[in-house]
Amino acid sequence: MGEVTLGHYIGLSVVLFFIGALGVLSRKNALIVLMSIELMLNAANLAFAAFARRWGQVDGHVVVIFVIAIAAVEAAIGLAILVGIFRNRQTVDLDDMTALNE
Amino acid sequence: MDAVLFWILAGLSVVGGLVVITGRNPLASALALGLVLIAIAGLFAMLSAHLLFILQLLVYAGAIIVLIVFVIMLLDLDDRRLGEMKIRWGRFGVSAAICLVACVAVLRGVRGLTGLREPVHASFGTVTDVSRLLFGPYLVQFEILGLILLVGILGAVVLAKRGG
Repeated sequence: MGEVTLGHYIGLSVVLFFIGALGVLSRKNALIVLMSIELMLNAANLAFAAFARRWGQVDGHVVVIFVIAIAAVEAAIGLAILVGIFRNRQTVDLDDMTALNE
Repeated sequence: MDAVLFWILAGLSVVGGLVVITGRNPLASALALGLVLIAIAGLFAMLSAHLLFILQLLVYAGAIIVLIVFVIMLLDLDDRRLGEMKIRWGRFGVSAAICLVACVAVLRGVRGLTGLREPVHASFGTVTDVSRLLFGPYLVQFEILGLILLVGILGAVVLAKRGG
């Protein structure tokens, strides 16, 4: 197995980020797109924590705390918008949300 | 021991992530996302980020997952609507190819990153350690964060009350 190095953590972070990006690009369900965005934010958090550990400085942890707070706000607002759209149009399908396109 | 734990957590998070983006039922995706978040909390603990470990479990695996599950149940999507949420494999395939190429390119770039300097001081990543920065050099940003949270709460309430 060998020793776990910084590259392992960053590699995992990259893989998770691109899984999230794939979700954002390919899914039509707004709920799953929101969850994919959370996944991408978490991948970035992991990279921050790994670099903080590597250089022995906790500044990275402070940034992660900021990201977690922003992610919480983003989830709350995003889900509120989603509930509002669902109430008006009975859909969470992104391809049906074309009001600005008509 | 560390390596075994890392690979278990890494495998859990990658498999969970794939379930999140391929799941047909949003509830299954939400639970898989919870698994990923808990695995990442474990990785935070391995990186001796004590405060982040607790915050990840409380805020992410606790609050955000509960919020998402709550909204999924509120929307109460029936089988007919879930049927319309099938993955379009054509679009998925093209996106997957692009992501795979980009992922491999970045991974080649980070391959040279080595070393995880072993001896960090004993208090690294504890509440005291992080707070000293959070309420010192980062105080202004921290206060702005409070403002953003307040605006977020107001926005969510206004959005959820209106309409219908």
